Amino acid sequence: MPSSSSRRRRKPPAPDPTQDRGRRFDAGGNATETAAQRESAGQRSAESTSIFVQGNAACARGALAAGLRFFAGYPITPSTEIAEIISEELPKRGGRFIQMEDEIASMAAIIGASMAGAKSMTATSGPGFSLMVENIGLAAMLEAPCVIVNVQRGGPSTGLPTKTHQADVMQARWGSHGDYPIIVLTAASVQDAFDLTITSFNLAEKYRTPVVLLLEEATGHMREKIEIPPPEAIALFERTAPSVPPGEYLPFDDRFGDVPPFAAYGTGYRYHATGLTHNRTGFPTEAFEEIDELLRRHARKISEDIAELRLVEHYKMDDAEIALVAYGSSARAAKGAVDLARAEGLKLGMIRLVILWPFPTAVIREAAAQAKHLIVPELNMGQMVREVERAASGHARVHSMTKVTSELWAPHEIVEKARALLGVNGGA
Amino acid sequence: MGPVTGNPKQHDDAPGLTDALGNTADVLASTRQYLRPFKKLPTVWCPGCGLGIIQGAIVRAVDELGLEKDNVMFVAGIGCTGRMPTYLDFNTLHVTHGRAIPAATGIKLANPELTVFVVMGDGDATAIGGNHLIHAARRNIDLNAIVVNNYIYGMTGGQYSPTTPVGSKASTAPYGGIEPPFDVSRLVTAAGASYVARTTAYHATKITQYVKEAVQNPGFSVVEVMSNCHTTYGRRNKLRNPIDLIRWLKDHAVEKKKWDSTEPAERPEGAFCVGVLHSEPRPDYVTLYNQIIERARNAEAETGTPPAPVEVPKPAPMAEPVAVRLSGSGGQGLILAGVIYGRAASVYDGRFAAQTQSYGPEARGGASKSDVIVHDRPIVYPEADEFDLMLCMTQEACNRYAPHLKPGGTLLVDSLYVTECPTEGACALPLTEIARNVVGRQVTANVVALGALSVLSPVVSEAALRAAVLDAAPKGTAELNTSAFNEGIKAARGLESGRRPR
Repeated sequence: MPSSSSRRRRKPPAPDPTQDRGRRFDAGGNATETAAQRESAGQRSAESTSIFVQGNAACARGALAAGLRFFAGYPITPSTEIAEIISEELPKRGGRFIQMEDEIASMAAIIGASMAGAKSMTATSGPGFSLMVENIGLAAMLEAPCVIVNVQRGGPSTGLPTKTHQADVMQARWGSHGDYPIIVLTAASVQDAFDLTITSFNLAEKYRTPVVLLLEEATGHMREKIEIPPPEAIALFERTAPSVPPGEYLPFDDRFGDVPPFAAYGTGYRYHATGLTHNRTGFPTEAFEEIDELLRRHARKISEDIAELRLVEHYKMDDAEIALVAYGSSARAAKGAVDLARAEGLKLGMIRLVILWPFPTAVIREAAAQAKHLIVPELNMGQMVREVERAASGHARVHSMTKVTSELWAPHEIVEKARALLGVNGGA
Repeated sequence: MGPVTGNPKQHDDAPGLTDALGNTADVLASTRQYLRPFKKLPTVWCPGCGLGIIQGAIVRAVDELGLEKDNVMFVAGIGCTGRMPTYLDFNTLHVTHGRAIPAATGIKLANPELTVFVVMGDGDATAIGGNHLIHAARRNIDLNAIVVNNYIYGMTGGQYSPTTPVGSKASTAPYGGIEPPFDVSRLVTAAGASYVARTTAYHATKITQYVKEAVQNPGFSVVEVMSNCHTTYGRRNKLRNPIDLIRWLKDHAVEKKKWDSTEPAERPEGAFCVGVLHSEPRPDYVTLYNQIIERARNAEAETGTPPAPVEVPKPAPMAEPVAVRLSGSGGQGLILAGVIYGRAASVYDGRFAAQTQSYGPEARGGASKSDVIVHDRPIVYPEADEFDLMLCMTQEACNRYAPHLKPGGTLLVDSLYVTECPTEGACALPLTEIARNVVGRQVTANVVALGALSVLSPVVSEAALRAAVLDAAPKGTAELNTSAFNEGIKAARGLESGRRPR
């Protein structure tokens, strides 16, 4: 079995409007690392490379392209290929990989590594994600940048290890106890798995937050061709370093905005960080106003009011009477459904949620003002549809399409639903 | 609370004082420089608690070793002991219950220059964090774990822990404990810790000595310090005065030499062995991992430059998506064949392709499959109900999948294994026999099949498939695989026209 190394190099492709490319959604343009620095770090400069790989492999490559320095994980289907590839590739770049004793330890280890300054990541699936949620709360509290990939499988419990679902979208938001914000992205294609892994790192670093990237068994195991741009064409965001000397540094200083500058342990900035509710000095507090200050700053830091976080794709929405609101693999089917329906003269459009959390309420509200119906096809019993209903708040009728057989949505199934809503009989 | 045994202001660090153990101001000064210079005293610990003594002993070890504050890291979990880093002027991190060791593991791997201490109580280290403790020991990761064992969960009010002695009372063992306790030092020794020492809060200078030795040991070191919780343990077990409890620790600590030369009956009930209990230095995890980094980099350097890109002619436009299924038994190389097919269609022919395959038990049975959807546009639906092109290399796969062949579709079967074909007009070729007898390696049957498919179906061009086959060929097998591909082409061309697809 060959490795899926570079097979053919070609010039960077012209933007293709028919393809949803996650790079378009990259957070910030404030790359602090230059191409030359990455070059000296051992990455080859080249033209864009086409490869045919699994979504899990694309995710691993995205992480390496984003500057991953530490990975801790525990084997679980259908995510394991990510750990396997990274265990082989990361040491070549001087980074370190470790297989921990469980997912609880994996999550704790990436938090530790992040606090010591390393871009860190883990990858898992539902049962492992359930174990990680404890320390995802800790990452949120410590404001430790890190990326958690959940390649979703069927559940609950051990469920269906090799079958696909989209059932962890609410857990990704609310899995850990307490009131904390989090960023959750989701991929629809193998190219997305590459692009959005980079975006996940950029957002984690920029907002000092754990970022969850949801893949699905279907996208994690599927192979497609992807274009890997040369390193100098990939914008990377590095966490903001303190601008004050160690004596004046406060680890959760809000004088510099809602995202405090970050000092890695071992760089001369000695401080305390804790999972306990703390004030800007990092030490525990039980003072009412300081508790309120901390939790409200967290909430402001990662909120739907931040325009940059409204990562969505509009597809043929200009004159749409029915809007499909879809994400992940279901967005592929929805896009196919829009094209099928348009061929019959039915005015369908799609809003693809690239970001699930914070939920882009304003985008859905706008769609609800325009379209009569919103259809939300999901591979679960109906989870995000509740958020869509909340955002639409009565301005459009919201219809849930649920499927839990572990099969994917097919475009024609969604078109049938649209026809029924419009009172149109079956097409050709 | 037990009886008040000290003035809360005894921690006032004004110079010139002598502490409860008679330490002079000089000793206090060496300790004080490692305490955070603001606000945090008195500590959260009860008056008379051993943790203050232990904390002082640890920082004196840091002082005597001459470690730079900036290079020292303290990680702790939950419990009374977990609060220690709050007071220390180092890099300090306070995490979730039981998770101090894995968090410290990440820190050490991200920055091996740091000297990392992990301070834990018995509950933190051996109950909720027990799994992490033994695995850190097994890995020999260079952490200095200090386990303060006071037989009880103190912070939550005196529930029994994995080290509470049988018969002792606790708030959740009101009738006395019935669970045998862990011997922490023996546990971590068995798990692979390379330095293990045990002492008590009474033996403050021993704590300092062992912590120094732990730091000097390159690997996972554990210093177990038996300590007093008169407030929640002693109160329920007739040792409510801290002095009584510390004296009890002193009287029940038996030096290793004496321990080894006495019979259990000769020791007081509840006695424990103290001293350096285990010391067997071996390479630590980071040292070994750095060798991995070197090995991986050397392997990368040997790989050399990738082969020059192959250009193939642009294929004819494709109006509808085409579905291809390659099936057979696990081990026949069908998954790889599907990957090669998808790569040929996408990377070389410039179309879009989505490849999926069976996983789990299905992949190992006789009807393993690898599907490829090929189209000129992005593939919205990576699955198919009917297939334009199908390869079946076992009877079981043929029985199961051939009915899903589209009318007019092309079916290629391996005539060695497929003797009954449910579909008319199948192309039967002895793919495995050609691989075995003509090419000389049975394992190339999948490549023989790909050669034949390039003739039987126009979905992927011969040039593209040939290039993708060579990409996939392991080093030194290009000739063998080219031969297999060519034999497949030859066999397919030799089919009678009646057996060729329409």
